[in-house]
Amino acid sequence: MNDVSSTRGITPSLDANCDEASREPTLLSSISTLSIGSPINFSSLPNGGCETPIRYVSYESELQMPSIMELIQKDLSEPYSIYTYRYFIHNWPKLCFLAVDGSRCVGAIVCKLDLHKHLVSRGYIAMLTVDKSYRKQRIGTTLVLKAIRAMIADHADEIVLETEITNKPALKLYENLGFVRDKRLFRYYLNGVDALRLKLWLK
Amino acid sequence: MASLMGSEIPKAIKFTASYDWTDITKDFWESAKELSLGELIHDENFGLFEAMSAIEMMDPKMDAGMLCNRASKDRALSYEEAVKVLIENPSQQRNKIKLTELTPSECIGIIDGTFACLVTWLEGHSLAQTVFTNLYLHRPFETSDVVMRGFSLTILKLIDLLINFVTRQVPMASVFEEEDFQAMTYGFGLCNEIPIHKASLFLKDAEDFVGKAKGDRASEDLNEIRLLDALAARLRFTRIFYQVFVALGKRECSGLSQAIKASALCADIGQSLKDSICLGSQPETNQSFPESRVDYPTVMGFEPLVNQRLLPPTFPRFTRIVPRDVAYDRLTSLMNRLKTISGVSPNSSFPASLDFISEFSAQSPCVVSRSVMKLTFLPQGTELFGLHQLTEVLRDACRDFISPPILTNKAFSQAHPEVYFNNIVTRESVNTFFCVCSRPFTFLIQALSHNRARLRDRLGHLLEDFAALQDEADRVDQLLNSLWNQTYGDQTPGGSHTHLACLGTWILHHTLKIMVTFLLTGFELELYSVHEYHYIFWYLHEFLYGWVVSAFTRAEILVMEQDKFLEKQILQNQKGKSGKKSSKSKRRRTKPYEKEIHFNQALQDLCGGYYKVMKGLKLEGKIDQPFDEFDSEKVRYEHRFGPFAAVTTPPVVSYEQFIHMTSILNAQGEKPTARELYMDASRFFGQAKTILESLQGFKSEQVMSLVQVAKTNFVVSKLLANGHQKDSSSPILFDFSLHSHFPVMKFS
Repeated sequence: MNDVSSTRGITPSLDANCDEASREPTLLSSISTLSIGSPINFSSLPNGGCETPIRYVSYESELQMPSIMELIQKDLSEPYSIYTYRYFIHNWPKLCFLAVDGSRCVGAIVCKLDLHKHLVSRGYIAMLTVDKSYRKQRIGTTLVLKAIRAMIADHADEIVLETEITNKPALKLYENLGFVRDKRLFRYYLNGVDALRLKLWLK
Repeated sequence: MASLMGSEIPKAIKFTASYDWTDITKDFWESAKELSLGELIHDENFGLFEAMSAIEMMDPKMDAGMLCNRASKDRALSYEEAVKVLIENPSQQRNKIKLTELTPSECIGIIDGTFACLVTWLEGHSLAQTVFTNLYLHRPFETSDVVMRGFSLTILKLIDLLINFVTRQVPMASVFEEEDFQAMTYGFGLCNEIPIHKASLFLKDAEDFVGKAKGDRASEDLNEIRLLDALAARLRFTRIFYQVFVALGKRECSGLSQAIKASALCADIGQSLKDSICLGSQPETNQSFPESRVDYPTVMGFEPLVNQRLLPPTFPRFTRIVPRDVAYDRLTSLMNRLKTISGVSPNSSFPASLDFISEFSAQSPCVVSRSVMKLTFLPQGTELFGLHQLTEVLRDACRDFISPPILTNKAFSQAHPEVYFNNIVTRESVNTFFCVCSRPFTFLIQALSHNRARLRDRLGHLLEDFAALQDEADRVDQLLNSLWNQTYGDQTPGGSHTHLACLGTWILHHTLKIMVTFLLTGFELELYSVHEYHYIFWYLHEFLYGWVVSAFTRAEILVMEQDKFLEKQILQNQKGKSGKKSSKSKRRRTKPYEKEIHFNQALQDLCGGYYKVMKGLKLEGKIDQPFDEFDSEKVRYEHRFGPFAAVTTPPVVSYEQFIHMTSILNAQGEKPTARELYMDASRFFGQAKTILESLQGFKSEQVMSLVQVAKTNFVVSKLLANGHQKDSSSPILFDFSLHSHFPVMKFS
């Protein structure tokens, strides 16, 4: 199996008996191999951390869409349609952040925030990716931090995401931020790999 | 767009209606100009699901109908089309199908390919993209080749049986919650018209045919004979494989003895088939296919794309079929698992059955074996093995576990009818209690029939049911005890024997088992980060295993008292009579739970050892801690033990208590140093090792690996205490390969 993760197809009619958790369409949250190397010195992290010329910007318009899609699609064997991106980004533009080097988009995070079971304000990190040649610069961590802070500002109670159990760098990244491996999802992805649902409780 | 909709419609689609297509491309682009940047017109209900299900036409990665996504320039042929081509041009080399005179090599290739598809299907993929890519299965009766006909029929019947086991039983085995098992047959017939037992006859014909062919060629061509032998072995494998499921499907476990023989035989043959895979026809790798197609090339008889139009547009475009040798490995291990299940005696007690089920589940068995297990033990949900009423079986289990005076035996009850038989309230309370028990215990078996990830969720919820059961048990115990006291006052027969916490301890022992399993499966499922280990092990060490030990100890005392009392009764009754029989009477049990108690003490020590090591490592700053802007250990702790809040006995230990109890100072009134903690840990591991080594003949396999774990950890914690790798920032790795719950510690 190659290192590119394949997304789970949506087969609601076939998934009889599944509960709420698996009925939600699944997105690969942390795509491919995000590498973060050694433990992070968080004291240097409030706004970017490293001395790279990376700028972090919020989503502004549809003009950014092609570069976001191009970046994320690189790590997917089965692509999302443009509507998937639009679903998230149009509904929650404030929860989409980009890492930009010059004019080039080198990292992106796409999230949503809505009521879960009419009760909990649940943030969801749908996609996170960093260009291969820009990894190990804590760009991923910075993007996640920005997203979490934005979701807290919007009164999120918790934040969840799913990632392949084999994606150690992504797991490490999220765990360093306090995410807990809440649940294992059996053969969640099409390639037969299990997923972990990670959760960060904010309240 | 117009070209796609208009001229390029594949000819294979047979429209019943005629359409009048109009090209709207120009109008469309014109109208779209009215939209501003980022504006999207969509239905109100166009949500995430619709967004993800949508495809972009003419995007080669999404549009499965595009030419570039086909396996070759030729369109995928349906069975009928493949046959038509064959009839028109019988001599063509690359025909998709042959209806007569298949060579043994072709048959072997098709059979191996089909089993590979079968295994892939059982791992959660659709039938359309796996087994039904075999064209012979579309029209099994139209093939004049006797081997292919017999094989195809049996495979179809087998699929039907498997679906039956997993999804169609009433009540359903229901072992696949949150797990894909795709029972949809896409309208393909599964030969329902052929009775279950007839399928083997067709296969027998095929076997005879091959046998005869071999006889005709006797000693002429060794290679040909090898091929025929390999083919014959496959047909035999298929027939016995099928028979295993037929036998397992018989009522009231009447087919178990047949199934155990058949599955053993099948496992043997399965292993040998791997060696002859090379004799079958192989996919021609010299043909060129798009890189994206992992399902091509294939062998004659298969067409991976044949059912594409039966699938929704966003369905995964292809399925990676497991390699043939892997497929036989998986089928062989399936047969081995079924052999284990078939070996169970339908007269096994409830505790023995529950132990079997727990151990079976711990091996993470596949969906089919879990279904078979569930349906063997609880076919209807109310009777163990479909033979013994669950309420009765549970009553026996409780009696064996703790010998409640009320249940102990006839002699005793008859000696004190005033307590039991003459009191309707008592009798009904006891009866009701065991009736109430059957539901949660059914749920427990149900939970153990799920995959391990689902099991853990289920156990969390199950604690609520067991908490209610605990209340009921305590209530009945109280009632019995007060009646007991009324009858006997201080003159309680059997010394200090009362009825307090009899049924209660029995339930408590199960509740504790569930709680321990809940925590331990977290390790197995990789749910805990290293910085969480300390509180998990602390909880197990400080509370749960302590409670387990005390529950067993209490049961042991009660059982021994009761046995003593019964013996006395019997001796009294037999006074004056011939003493011959008394030696044969029920033997007094001495320390019936000695080994259980020691085993759990050893586990308690192990957990104590891990806890101390974790605390030492933390103290030395050798465990990465999360960024504290969002992280809170209290929140993590409370979520990890959240399900325990449902239970009143044992009470949940709050985070504040945890903090309080773990900040105890040492004898000098100081916080313990890392060295002291490591020394404590090595003492715990050493104790665990000593206890485990004394447990001869008890859970021997598990105990053996635990001894290994304790031994290594003993050494590692000693080294840590002596300052080994003191300067390393993260010196310890936790290796779960020897035991899935108790890791071996290693220096990195």
